[in-house]
Amino acid sequence: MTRKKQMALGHWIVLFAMFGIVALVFQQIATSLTEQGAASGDALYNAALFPKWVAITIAGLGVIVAVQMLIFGVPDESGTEAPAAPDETSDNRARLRLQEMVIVGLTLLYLVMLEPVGFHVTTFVVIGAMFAALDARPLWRPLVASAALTLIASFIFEGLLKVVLPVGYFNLTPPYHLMGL
Amino acid sequence: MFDLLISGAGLIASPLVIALVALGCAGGLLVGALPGLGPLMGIILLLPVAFYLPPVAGMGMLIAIYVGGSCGGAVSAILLRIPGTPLAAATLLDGYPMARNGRAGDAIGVAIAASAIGGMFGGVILIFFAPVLARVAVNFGPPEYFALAVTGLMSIAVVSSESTVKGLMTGCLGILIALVGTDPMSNALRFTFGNHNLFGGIHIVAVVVGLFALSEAAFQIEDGKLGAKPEVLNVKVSFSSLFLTLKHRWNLLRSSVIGTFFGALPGASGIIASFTAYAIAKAQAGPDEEYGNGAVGGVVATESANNACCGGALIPTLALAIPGDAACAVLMGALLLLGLQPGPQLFTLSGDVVGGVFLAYLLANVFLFVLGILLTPVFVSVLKLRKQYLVPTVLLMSMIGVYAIQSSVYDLWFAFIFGIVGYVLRKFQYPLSPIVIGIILGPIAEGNLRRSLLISQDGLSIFAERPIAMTILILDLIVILWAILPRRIKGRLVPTRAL
Repeated sequence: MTRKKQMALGHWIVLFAMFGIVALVFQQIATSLTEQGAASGDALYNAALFPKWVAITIAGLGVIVAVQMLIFGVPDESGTEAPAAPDETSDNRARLRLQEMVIVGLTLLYLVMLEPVGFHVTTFVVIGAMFAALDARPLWRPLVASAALTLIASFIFEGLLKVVLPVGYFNLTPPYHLMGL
Repeated sequence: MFDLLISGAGLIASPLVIALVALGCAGGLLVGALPGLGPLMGIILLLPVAFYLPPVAGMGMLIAIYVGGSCGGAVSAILLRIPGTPLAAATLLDGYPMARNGRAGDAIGVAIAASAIGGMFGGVILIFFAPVLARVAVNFGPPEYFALAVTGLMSIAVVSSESTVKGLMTGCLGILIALVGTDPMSNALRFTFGNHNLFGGIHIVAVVVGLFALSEAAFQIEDGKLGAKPEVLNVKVSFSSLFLTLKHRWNLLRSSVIGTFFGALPGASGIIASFTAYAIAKAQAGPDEEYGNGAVGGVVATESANNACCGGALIPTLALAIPGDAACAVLMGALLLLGLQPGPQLFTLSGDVVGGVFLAYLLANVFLFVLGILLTPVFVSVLKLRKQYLVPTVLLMSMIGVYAIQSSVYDLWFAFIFGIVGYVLRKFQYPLSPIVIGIILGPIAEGNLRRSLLISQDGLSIFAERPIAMTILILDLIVILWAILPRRIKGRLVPTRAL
């Protein structure tokens, strides 16, 4: 499938997702809100009134977008993307895509690890891995940068703002109280 | 007006507030200078921090980021020909040629001085007009507030650079996101799917960070050049740039007026203001000034206009709860987080906070000039930061910020989900800013609509009986219809040159 066709398919999928949201609103009104007795009555009790209008508006606008795409076709390229960089060969683009997926994966890993493993260890490991995944070399640099960033973030949020960050199994908490913080 | 300032002076005269405004300003300059970030991102990243501060300190810091960020983009525009923010796009027209002519220091100095003076002008107008507007609006009832909320909802969608219809759709999507949770009027649970983590709704910080910060990280990676270190000149900037700027005083004044005017129009951004100011300055320039080849007047016009815009944009944001731009929408969100209700009530119930915010805005512009000149070498060296370090840093700060708000990992999951949503929507040209406006104005619109219907007892006829509400809604309808109309039909109605 060509890139243009992929983009066209993407545009239609996003539009159908919007219609899906509209359907979900009506499904919730017909089930959950009706069961709670909040889908009818006067404006005080009718919690479905406004969402219904909003959903209908989305549906109407969706129809306009669909008609525009049918008549004029889908936009050629993403308007938010920067123009292709000079070194943007297909190999390079595939590599960037891979790096992007790795970063998404590491972000997911961060969310999963944060509470059980704790902020300090998770941040040091995952952020260090992110630096390395984005080609930061030699390897001591991502390690040092990750350690520094972990300490700075910890100092700002735990030391200065008194936010309790997850300590995890290792129960690591820097002794900011000894610094008078 | 003066009573607001006097009561606000007590709140701002504390070392904490002054230090935070200075820090916010420096931070704003920093995020503004880094291409791809900008004031909106700076405000989003520090929103969780503001949550832990007293209202004036928190708002002062965020407004200072807004002020600093609106100017910071000029540094990279002048040195790299890459505007750090879209606001600085017009600045490179003459700023970059000045740098190539060996006057990079002058260009940056003039940009900072003009921004500070333009910002001050916008601030003075803000202080004069916002209380007047609030005094008029305080007499409004639910129908008028509903009409104003609708105006705010559609304004940014209508002028967004992407499709208007898509902008309106994402605005509506934002409203639906805001409706998740417990309905404050009926106590019914809406769209919670039985999940108790949704009973209180989805936190705005999680949504905003996900939509903007996380999706931006993905776009930055896609853009490539992760390990590239930009070659940047070392520049020296001096306070004497102020005198160079003041040589263009009429240009400065005119551009500041233009900037404040466009800022006060909801949805009209600093980009429009700076290009308009530039075009007018160019048209008015003498024969010796070569615009496009490094004219100081070009930098003065664009930078004073886009920073004056900040003051202008805060007028409807504070007085009417209609955000002037996306950054103002997040500032409105910050006010709500701090327990304050933007709009006329803010002026009557929390006049001291309003006065403090006004003074913080003015102070931020003073710091903009002083710190901007002193710290330029730092901002220039930050431009050398490689993306491979920048992207994970932004990701970490975003995630910890989201976690800090409620110490909840669920918020992080929501941010992650909205990161994917933001990425997909941006990829397919759905603007994200209207979502933020929708989240903030949606509940205001709903509450006032339902209150109007309760007062009316006769359905929507109440809007026909209230002339102000009806006029606003009719104007909204005309603007929407005009925006939705295909270009071809618009072209027949109005000559192409006028569009």
